[in-house]
Amino acid sequence: MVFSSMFFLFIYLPVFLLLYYLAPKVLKNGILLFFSLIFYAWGEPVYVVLMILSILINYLGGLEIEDLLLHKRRKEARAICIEVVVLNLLILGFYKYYGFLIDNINALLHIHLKHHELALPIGISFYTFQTLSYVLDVYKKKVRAQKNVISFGAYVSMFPQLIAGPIVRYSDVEKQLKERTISFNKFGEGAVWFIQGLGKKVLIANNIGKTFEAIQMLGPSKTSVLSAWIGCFAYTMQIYYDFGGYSDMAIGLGKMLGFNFEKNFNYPYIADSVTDFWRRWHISLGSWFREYVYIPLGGNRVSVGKHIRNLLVVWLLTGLWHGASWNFIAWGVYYGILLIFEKYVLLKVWDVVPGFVKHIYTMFWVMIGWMLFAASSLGSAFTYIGTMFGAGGAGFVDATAMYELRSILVLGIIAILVSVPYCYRRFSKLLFLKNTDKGKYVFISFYVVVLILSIAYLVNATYNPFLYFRF
Amino acid sequence: MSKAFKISRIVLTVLLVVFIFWDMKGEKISSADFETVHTKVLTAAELPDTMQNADNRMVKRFYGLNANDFEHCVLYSPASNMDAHEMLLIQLKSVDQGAAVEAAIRERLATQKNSFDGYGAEQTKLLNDCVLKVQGNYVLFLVCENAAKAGSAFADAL
Repeated sequence: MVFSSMFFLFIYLPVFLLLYYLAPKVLKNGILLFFSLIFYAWGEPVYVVLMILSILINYLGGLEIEDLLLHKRRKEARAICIEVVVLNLLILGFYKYYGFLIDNINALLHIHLKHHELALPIGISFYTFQTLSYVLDVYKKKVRAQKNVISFGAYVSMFPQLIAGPIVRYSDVEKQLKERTISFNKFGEGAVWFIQGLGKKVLIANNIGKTFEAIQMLGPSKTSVLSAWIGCFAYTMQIYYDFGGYSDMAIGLGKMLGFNFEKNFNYPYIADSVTDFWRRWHISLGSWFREYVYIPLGGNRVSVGKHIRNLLVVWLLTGLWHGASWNFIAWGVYYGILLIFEKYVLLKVWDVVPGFVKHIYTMFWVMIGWMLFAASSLGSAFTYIGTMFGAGGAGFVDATAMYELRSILVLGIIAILVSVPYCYRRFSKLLFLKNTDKGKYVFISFYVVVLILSIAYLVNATYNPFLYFRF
Repeated sequence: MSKAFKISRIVLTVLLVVFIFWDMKGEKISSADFETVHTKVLTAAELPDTMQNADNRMVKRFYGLNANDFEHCVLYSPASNMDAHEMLLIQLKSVDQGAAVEAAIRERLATQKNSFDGYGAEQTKLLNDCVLKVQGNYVLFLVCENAAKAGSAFADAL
């Protein structure tokens, strides 16, 4: 089930919210767990079993680790922690990388090992990282083990962020699982976040994504340089509004339920370096890797050689986390190299570089990076990037490019404006007028219009899942 | 207490392994190169010279299938409607597509048998002896004198 579907908006969500609000406090986590399992089973009737088993194993693992730590049996606790972490990674690795591994063995050894085609359980990368953070934090005594299996199940399977994040760490919601504020104001705030996210996904991402799709289908021989850059720009905007829109919806739904999730995006396209971009993009994934991989490896408090190794390991894993394909690995390593270059060379002279140059530099690398990310294989990624630099067969500019430019112009300008804080600040000023009748009406009208337009689009739309569903 | 947790966790881990084995019950997919399979089948089939490599529109016309939905798709069709020879080789994107492709081919086969029934004894025999194999992510449909031999070559190539 996706948030941007009529069934979710008009049946699932109202029924769930009604029951959730009417239920006494003690039953709320149970209702949340029950509806989250239905939400997941809707798309993954088989893999809901895998998720339930994963919840139970991690729940028991947490209790076992804490019990051993209480009895000063640290070595055994450590062994159990490793056991549970390895099991989680094996499940993730098996479902995500089994086919990829066999294909590469076949290619390397020129053999034809057959393998089973396994579907990737939706959201497995997200919920596995959540359970890993829980088990590791219990072992490090950062959090207490959750005694209530319903509350733990609700944390892992919570439908607002189950499918595509943000990756919510147990330490961030531990208290909220027990005690959270549900109020009319918070519901309103959540509804605003949700509608904002819905609008980003349905009105901007889905529409601008069509341009990239159309250009990608032309093939290199019919793609001019300008077309390739227009396609690249369209995808750059699509992935931001698609993923950012999903995160806004997740945060909004969380607020409606009384939870506060951290922001997952902070205007990434205004970043003035690639390093800055990654502080603003998919923040929950970046902080997860920093906390559980980068810092345990020694972070930056080690020799230069080891620091470079640490950065490359983190970025290789980041790429691999996104998918079992060489283009994702290349995308991860690409960012690892850029960050190392910035850290040891560029940022030392960065202060004297004009702001617009920094911004162009950052967006250039980010956009090239998205083409590695968007392609179905490394070969097609290089072909597309080559076309952006004149290797295509349709010259610098052609009629198709001009047509696509005209089609995307208005939406592209809107997408750029909404991706910078200026518009948000102007809109915030309007929020301060909320207490006046005029401000209140403008504010409400805006969100009602976005909601109506989004629903109007959804009525005629075909199934259009979020890009991050495949991770 | 931790012993009880451990036992429960081990039982659940065993259940998890059982689940994964159950999940792997489906057919295996082959990583064999499409061109290699194509060449081996073609060599074994020894199709008549009148057969031509057809375009995607013919795939749509014959089977109602969209060739772009697959990883690879190649069709050989005869120059004349009076000829029943035919070869379709598909590498699926997902084994889930197999059932729909098989149904489309069976429909085509029924139509062809119906068309030649009563007057085209030679064509009807070819159609009756045809090979239709769905093996994981590969599908072969072959109507020719050497269908059985090419069918074996297909199986060996995967």
